[in-house]
Amino acid sequence: MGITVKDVMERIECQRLFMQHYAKMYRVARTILYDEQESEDVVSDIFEHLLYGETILMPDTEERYLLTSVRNQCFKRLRHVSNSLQGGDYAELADDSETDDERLTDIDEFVANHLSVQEQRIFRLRFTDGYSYEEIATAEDISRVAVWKHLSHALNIIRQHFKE
Amino acid sequence: MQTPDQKKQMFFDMQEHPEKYSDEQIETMMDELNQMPDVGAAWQKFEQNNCQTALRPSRSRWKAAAAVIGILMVSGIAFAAIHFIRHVADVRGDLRTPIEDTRISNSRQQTAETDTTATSHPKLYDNVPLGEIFKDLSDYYHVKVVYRNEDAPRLRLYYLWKPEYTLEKVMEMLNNFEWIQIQKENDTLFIRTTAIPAKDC
Repeated sequence: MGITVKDVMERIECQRLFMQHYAKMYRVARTILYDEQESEDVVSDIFEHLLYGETILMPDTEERYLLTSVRNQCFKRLRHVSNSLQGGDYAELADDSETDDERLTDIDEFVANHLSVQEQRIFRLRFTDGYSYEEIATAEDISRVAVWKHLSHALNIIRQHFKE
Repeated sequence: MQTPDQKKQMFFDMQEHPEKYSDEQIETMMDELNQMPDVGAAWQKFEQNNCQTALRPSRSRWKAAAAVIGILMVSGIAFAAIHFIRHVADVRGDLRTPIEDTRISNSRQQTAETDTTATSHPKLYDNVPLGEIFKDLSDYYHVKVVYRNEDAPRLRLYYLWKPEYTLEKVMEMLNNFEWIQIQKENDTLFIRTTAIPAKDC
């Protein structure tokens, strides 16, 4: 008995995913959470999930999956923090994860219904495709500050939606 | 000089009220957020936190973990496996709550500093007798526990329990150790263990 070849292969694959996507994932997390440690935790939790879970990622969509996971986990975390600041109980909130998941699956629909077409595009470039502010500014032919303002507006209304 | 908390507050304020800030301040914030992390260091840290397979749920993984860690008999088998057991002080639960950590430095010192009253946090049983583990589990899941052999409650185990696990999940995980058989009949768990030779530890 010992570590099997399958275990080693899974670890190698996990390392590949980590090395390839960590930086983008971390930067997306920071855009939402700011806090370095929290951002690190969110990304590490996602890889832990992959390592111990049964999820198999397809090469074509792995980046989108990972970035979307980061985005969702960050919003979830913000909601929990917001609730705990209002006197909510963490344990209680943990039980609320199904409601959270439902809300998260609604994000894309919410974005489509509440953001302008340009904001939707910018939101997706940042949080689904992992573009930097610079890259979005170039793609949209606007300034970096304008990108910040569009993203901020999007994040504000999504956060508001989560608080409700 | 701003504290990290003040900077965080400014970040959120800058998102809510970008009009209050100059372009330069926003640019500075974006530069900070764009900083590349040290991926190599992050991987090392991640690997350190996940360096052995004890927490893995699948059958092959759990058995591999069992082979490395082993179950230590109370009779005093040298705790050679300590080298393989990762440091778990920073193992993180889903809610970022501290994990009650149990540690022993050798087989004679069988203290298990676990908080048996805390059940809403993940809990790490590090070389803790099955008897203690199942005392917590039976309280939590409201089941009775019957040991089929007298050695069973004294066998020691390394196990990370999380509050979101159902009883069925816990049984499935523990049944993946070759030397533990757990069966449930109504509200009673029947546990049988087989000893493992010292050389496996």
